[in-house]
Amino acid sequence: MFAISSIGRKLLEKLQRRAYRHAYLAEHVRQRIAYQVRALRVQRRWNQGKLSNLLGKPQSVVCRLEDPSYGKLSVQTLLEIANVYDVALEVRFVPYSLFLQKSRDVSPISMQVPEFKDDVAVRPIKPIVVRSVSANQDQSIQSDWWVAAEDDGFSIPGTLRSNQFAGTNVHVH
Amino acid sequence: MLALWTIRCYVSHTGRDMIDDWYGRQSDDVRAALDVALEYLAQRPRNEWVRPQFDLLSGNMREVGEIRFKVDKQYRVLGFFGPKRSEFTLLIGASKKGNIYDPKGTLDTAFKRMCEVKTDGRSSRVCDL
Repeated sequence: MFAISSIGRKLLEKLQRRAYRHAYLAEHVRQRIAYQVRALRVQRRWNQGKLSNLLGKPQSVVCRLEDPSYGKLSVQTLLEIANVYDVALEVRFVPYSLFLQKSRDVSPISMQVPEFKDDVAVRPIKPIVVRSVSANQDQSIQSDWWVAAEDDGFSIPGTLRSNQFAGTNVHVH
Repeated sequence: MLALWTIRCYVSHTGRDMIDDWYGRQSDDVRAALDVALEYLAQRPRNEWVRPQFDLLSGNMREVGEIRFKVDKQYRVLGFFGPKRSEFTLLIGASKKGNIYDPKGTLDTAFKRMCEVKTDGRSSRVCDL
């Protein structure tokens, strides 16, 4: 449960007013998008020209995307941006308590998101040794299957990410 | 979510928080826009205080910067980095149309207040907007 004491007393008082609450939400959403579009571009060491090329839109559009005063983005545009950066997009309605909890950290590092290949993509490791555990056999085999590396922080320990071995418990050495 | 900056507000000779006064006269939309702008800037290193959210003025006013946001019209809250390290002091709030600030004399007032804050520690306090 969100500790309401983690936000300031003054802010909490102002949020009781409907008009302020709605304006605060809108402003946070606009700022988050603008800052994050820029942060993701900088994270990838792209200039605005490169982003505009990849989006297939004029550079003036990229300038607007990075300007929180604009704030008239469609979900379709947000999806196009997500695709260019190869990151996921989450748009959903939530209670204010959750919004306030998640919006406390607006630091530069909180804006960064790894692209898919650095996140959850299955990477080739050849060869690998797979030892079946579920069958309780002490039998090692050679395999060319693509599996998630153990050190990528994503794989579930003991589960091989392969269609061939789906559901089979294994150790990856 | 560590704030890198303490945001201070200019206080007049009579002890009035002039930023709080200005803030209190604004609509909820303007208040929210400034609150969120400050939340974001407070968590950013100096090199990320850039346009379109922030800009330094030029010439004699180059020590003064303005927090920029738009609601029904363009708004500017002028301030400077100081008086101590990791502090940013808000000096005056204004709206802006073209190159014209409202109230008139905003730039002169900002400069005078900055000089006051630099020489008199009682001329500012931590903002409590």
